[in-house]
Amino acid sequence: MIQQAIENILDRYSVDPSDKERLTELALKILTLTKEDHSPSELRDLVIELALENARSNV
Amino acid sequence: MPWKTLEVTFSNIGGIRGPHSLRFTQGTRYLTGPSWAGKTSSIKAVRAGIFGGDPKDLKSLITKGEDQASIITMVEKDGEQIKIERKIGKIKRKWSHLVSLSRLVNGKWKTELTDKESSSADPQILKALDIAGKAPESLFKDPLDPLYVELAGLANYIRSLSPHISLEVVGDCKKAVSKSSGLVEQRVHSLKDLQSQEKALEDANHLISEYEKLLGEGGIPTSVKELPDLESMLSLHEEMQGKEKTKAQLNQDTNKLLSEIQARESGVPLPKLEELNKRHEELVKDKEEIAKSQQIETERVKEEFEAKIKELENSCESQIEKLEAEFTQKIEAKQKEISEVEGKIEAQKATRPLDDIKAEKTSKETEIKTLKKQIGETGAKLKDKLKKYPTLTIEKIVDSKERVSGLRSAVQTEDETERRRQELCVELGIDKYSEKELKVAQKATDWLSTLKDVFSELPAELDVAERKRMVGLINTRLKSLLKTLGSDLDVNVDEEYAMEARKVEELDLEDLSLGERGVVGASIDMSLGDQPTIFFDDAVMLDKARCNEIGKELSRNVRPVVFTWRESTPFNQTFVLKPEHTIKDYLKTIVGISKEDKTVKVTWEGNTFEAPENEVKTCLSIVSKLTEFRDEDLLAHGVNPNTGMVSLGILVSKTFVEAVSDDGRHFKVLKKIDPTAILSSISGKK
Repeated sequence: MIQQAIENILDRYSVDPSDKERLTELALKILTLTKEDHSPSELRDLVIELALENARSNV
Repeated sequence: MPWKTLEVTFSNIGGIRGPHSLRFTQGTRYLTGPSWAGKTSSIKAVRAGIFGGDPKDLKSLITKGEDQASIITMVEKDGEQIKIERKIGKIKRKWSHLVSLSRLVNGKWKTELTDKESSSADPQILKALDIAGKAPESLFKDPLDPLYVELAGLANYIRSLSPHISLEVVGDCKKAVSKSSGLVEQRVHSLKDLQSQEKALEDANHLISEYEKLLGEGGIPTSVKELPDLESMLSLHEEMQGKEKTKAQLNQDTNKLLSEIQARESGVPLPKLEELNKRHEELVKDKEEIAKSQQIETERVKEEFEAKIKELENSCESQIEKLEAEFTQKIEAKQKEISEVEGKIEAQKATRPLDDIKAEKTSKETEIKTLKKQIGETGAKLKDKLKKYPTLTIEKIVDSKERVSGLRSAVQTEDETERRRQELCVELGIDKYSEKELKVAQKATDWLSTLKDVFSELPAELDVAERKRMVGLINTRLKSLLKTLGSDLDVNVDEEYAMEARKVEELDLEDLSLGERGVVGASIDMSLGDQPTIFFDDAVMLDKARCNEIGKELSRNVRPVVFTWRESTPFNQTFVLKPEHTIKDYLKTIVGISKEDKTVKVTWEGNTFEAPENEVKTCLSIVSKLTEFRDEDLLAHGVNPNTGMVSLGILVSKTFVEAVSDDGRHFKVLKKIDPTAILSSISGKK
C-alpha cells in the first residue's frame, strides 16, 4: 500500500524513471529504519548516510 | 540442558529505589502499580540480568539520583542453581559494569567470577548457560519462536492503528528526512565555502609571489604589518594623474578663450541689434501687403473672367496658376530675406559679451594654479610613501596595476583563510575540496527534498475502511495463532481500543528515544529460559478477563506470563465536597506536604512520595512551560517518577493544575507557576 502510494506521488513529481526506483527504495528503507529502535539523532544520521550512499552510486 | 529463570532481585532500577524481587512461577502474573512505579524497568532488568547490554541503555535504567544499581539473577540449569550478580554505575568514581558468577554446589555457593568487567565476563555467563553467540530473540527455537514473531508483529499492527497514524512511522520519517535534508544542504554550503576558501588561498599564493616579484630583492619587508600600502600609492598616483589631466584641459580652454578675446578686440564690430529688428519688421509688413494684394488681384481677375467663363474657361485657370506662381516666388524671396535677418539676430544674441569671456579666463587661470599646488602636494605624499622602499618605483606599481588590487588583503587574510579551510575539512570529513563530493551532496539534497515532499504527501491518517480491514486482519491472525496452540479462545481486538490509542506524536521526539515510545496495546518481551516468561508490557488494550484467558492459554501450566498494568494515579480521587468546603480546602486536608533536609514529601491517602528539592524544582520548571500535559510527558522529560508524584501533589493541592480526564493522568495548567515561590512556601512541618 505504502509502496504504491510513494510511487504514485513520485509519478506526480514526474521523477525520472531511473531515479524513481531508487527513490522508492530509499523511502522504503527509511520507513523500515524507524521501525527499529533508533534515537532521533541516529535516525537522522542514517538517513543522511543512505541519501549520500545513494547519490554516490548515482553520480 | 534445560534452564529457567527462578528469581530476579534488583535495586535502584527505574522508579524502584532499594531492593525488590520478582519470583517467576508458572501461570498468569500481574505487575501493577501507578505510572513510574517501575513495572517496565523490572522487565528491562530481567533481560539485563542475563545479557547485560549496551552501557547507554543500562545507565538509563539506574534510578535518577542514585549512583549504582544491582541485578541478581537466579537461574536453574540442569538441576543446578546459578547466581549472576551485576553492579552497574559509578564504582570508585568510574563508570563500571561488574559481573560475578557463582554456582550452588552441595548446598554451598562456589564463586567462579568476582566483579569482573562485563566485556570479558558476559561471554562466560552465556557459555555457562549454554547460550553463547545467541541474541535474546534467537533463543526461542521451540514452538514459541513463531509465536513471538507473530505477537511482535501484531503489536506493530496494533500500533499502526492509532488514528493519527497509519503510519506513526511516516511522522518520524517526515521529521528525520526534513532534518537530514537541512543537514545535507548545510553540507553543500560548507563544500561550496571550502571551494571558495581554497580558491582564495590559491589566489593569495599567486598574488603573494607577484608581490614578491614586484618588491624585488632587498625590498621585501619581513612582517605583514610593514608591507607597503601599494593600493594607496597607486591611488595617489592616479589622483595626481587625474589632476594633471584636468589641468591640461583647463589650459586648452584658457587658450581658446584668449584667442577669441584677441579676435574680437581687433575685428569689425557687429551691426546694431535695433537696426536689424526694425528691418525685420519692415520685411514682415511688406510680405503681408503683397499677400493682401494677391487676394484682391485674384478676385478682380476672377470677376472679370467669370463673365467670359464659357469662352475663356481654359485660359482662366492657367492665368490664375501663373499669377499664383508669381506671387509664391515673391513670398519665398521675402521669406528667405526674413530668415537671413533672423539668423543674424540669433547669432547676435548667442554671442557672449567680451567681459564675460575675460572673467572666465581669469577664473580658469586661478583653478590651474590651485591644481598645480595640489599636484605638488599629492606628489610629495607619494614620494614620502615610496621613500621607505628603495627598490620600489611608481612605474613598477603602475605596471602591476591589475595585480596590485586585492594583493595586500590577500597577504593579510592568508592565515585566516587557511584556518577556515582546515575547519571546513574537519567538519566535512575530507582532506580537500573535491568536485565529486559537492556533486554527491547536491544530488543527495535533491533526493532528500523530493523525499521530504513524498513523505509530506503520505496520508497522516488511515481511512476508516483501511482501519477496519487491518483490525479484521489482526483478529484473524490472533485467532489462528491461538488455534495453533489448541485454543478456541476469542480475543477480538476491539476497534475502539485501538482508536483510543495514545497519540505518541504529541510528545517531543527529541526527548525520547524511539525505543521508549508509548506502545499501543501491549509490547511483548520475553524473559529467558527454555520455558521463557512472556511479558505483556503496559497491556492497556486488554481488560483483565482477557488477560487471564490469554495468560492461561500461553502459560500452558509451564511458563509464567506477566502482564503489567497501570493502576490509576492518586489524582482521580472523587472529590466529595461538603457544602462548607471549597475544592482548595478539600485538597489541603487530604494532601500533606512537608520539607526536611532539602527533601520534599507528599502524602496522599496513605501513599507517601518523597524527592530531592532541586529535582522537584526542575520538574516544576518543566510544567511551568506547559499549558497542558500528561503524566508520562514528565517522564519523557527525564523526571524521576517519585519527583513527578511529589510535584504533581504540590501542583494539584495548590490548584496550579487540575486533572482534566477521569483517569487522573491528564492535566491542565490553571495559572502561572513560579517554582522558587512554590517551594519556599512549603513549611518544614506537616
